[in-house]
Amino acid sequence: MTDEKILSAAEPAAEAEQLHSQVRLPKKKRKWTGEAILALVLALIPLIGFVVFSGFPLIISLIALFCDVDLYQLGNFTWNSFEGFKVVFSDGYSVPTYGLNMAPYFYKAIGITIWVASTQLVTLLIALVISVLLATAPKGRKIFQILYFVPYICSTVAVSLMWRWFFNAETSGVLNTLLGTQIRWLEEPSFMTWCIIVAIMWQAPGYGIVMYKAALANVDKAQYEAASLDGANSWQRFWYITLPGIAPTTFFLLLSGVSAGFLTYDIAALIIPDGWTGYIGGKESMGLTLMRLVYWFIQNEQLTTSVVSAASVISWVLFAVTATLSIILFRRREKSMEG
Amino acid sequence: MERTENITPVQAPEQTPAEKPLTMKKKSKVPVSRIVVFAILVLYTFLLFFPLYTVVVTSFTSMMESSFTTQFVWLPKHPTFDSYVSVFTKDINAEYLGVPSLLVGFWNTLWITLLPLVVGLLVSGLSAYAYTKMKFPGKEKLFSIAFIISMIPLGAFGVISYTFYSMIGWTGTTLPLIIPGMFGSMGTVFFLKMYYEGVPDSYIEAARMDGLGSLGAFFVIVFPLAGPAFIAQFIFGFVGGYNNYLGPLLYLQGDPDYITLQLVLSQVTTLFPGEGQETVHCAAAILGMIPLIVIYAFLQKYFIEGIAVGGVKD
Repeated sequence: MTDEKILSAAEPAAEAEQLHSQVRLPKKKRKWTGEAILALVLALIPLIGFVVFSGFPLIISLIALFCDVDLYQLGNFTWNSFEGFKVVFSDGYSVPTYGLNMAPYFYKAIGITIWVASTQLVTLLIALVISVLLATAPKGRKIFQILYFVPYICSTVAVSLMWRWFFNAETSGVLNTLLGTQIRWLEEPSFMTWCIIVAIMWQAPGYGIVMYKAALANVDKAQYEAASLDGANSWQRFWYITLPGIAPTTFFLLLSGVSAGFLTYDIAALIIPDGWTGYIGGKESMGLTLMRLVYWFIQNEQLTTSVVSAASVISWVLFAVTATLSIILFRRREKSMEG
Repeated sequence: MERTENITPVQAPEQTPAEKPLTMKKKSKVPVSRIVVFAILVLYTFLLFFPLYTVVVTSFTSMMESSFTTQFVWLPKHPTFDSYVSVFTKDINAEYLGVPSLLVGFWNTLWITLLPLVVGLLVSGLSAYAYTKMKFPGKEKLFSIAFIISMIPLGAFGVISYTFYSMIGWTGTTLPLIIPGMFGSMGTVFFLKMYYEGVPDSYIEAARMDGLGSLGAFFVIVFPLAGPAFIAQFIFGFVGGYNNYLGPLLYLQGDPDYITLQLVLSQVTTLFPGEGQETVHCAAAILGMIPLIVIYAFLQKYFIEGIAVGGVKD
């Protein structure tokens, strides 16, 4: 279609609009034309998918908080008198028929998860520093930008293989060769969590760098000029103009990063596997995140159905945290839109 | 650290008197701060690519050389492709599957990712079109309900959803990985809707005067105009699907016929067991990463855009 045609079609349409509005009135009664029904169906499909594949699992996990559920039959629920809560929270309470005291694992996992999630601050700082440096338009800026994003598209599984090789226990391991040591990095409780964190820090900043690039480009340039005229040095300009200018992006990255940190599963499970000796989350559970505990409960479904209850309890704890973070983010966004 | 030049990415076009001496100085020699910035960026590049290098170099080291050493082999004396050959020949599952696991995994990953992605994008695209350019009673209300619902962060239920799929008998099949995606996603709908709003209604009216139905107008006018948005969403979805580990792990339950690429990579130590097989594991990791990196090399602009916008909508 040519541009001419579009222009010629647009103008009479606007004029005809006024005429039409009077003529159309009686027609309005027949709201549900074939096209309206088609539109409704098209509009509804993603919502239906959402209700079925997100809503139902959510409802079932809500029921499973308080009931034993039959994993092989829909709708078979029996009240379990807070079994799941006892398994998760009550130290000394052992899982029925299995006799494992799970609460210490839960408390351990909370600590590890918060630890891992909090390192998102460092990830953010790396992204910020690198982005600000890139914004000074150094030589080869484009190439740096392209290279910095590569870790982000590498699969977590490949990344974990890479870091397991890096932290190899042999003297011929990469890190052991560099340091001249012979440390079993991945089996030494004091190092295990750090191995996970290093891998996250290697992979995660790429996303922040991309987001900051757009944010930095949108900071009002006139402000920098005005500040320069007033004699502000580059540090002052960064502190008083750049940082407030990119604050919404920082806030978004921080909250979504912490949120993702709380839901860490892949990288922790792959770098520090459970192991053969009955550990959950590696030696002394130093690699145990809350998500891994949920997974452990679920994959041990042959235990009792009350572990599904326990898994639901932890899922809802995690949901409470991530939902709170999104509400804060949403409120903040609305505020900045008003202001 | 002294930073003399502007922080702004683009040099201001007008030169103010105060800035003049600064630019003159720049012409005479490169300021120290520029060199420092460049050095930091190079150092960061090195930190990112050094671990990758160790995997690449190991994949080209012979098993002999890497086993009988007390030091990491930084540069193999006799570089070899043996490990890459072993990935395809020494795989203990190859006999059962008829083809090396890595290829089975790659094929499964492709169709398990592409099928829901393509169908889902089309569904989301049409849904966004209905919300933006079509009329039906209660449209605004439905949209605001959809908006609120889709703001709920559901990541925490990623694993516990297993109970639902188990109850409807879908575990152990590829269905939980394929069917939900085919319904599209509200996040994609919002993103595309924003894009469609830039398409003038007159374009669509003109197309309809030419005798196209509302769906025809979508495919002829809106879809091509929103092409970049679809590409960005496609890439975001493809990277996510290609790298998905937890989903296949939960639902495919080790069925070797439906093993995906990431599951193959996570099982290299069992697929290639024994002492000194690390060179093979490294080769497998590299082979697993190469497809996305090659696509990225050609389409990096779309990658970065796609992942930036895809992330925001979540």
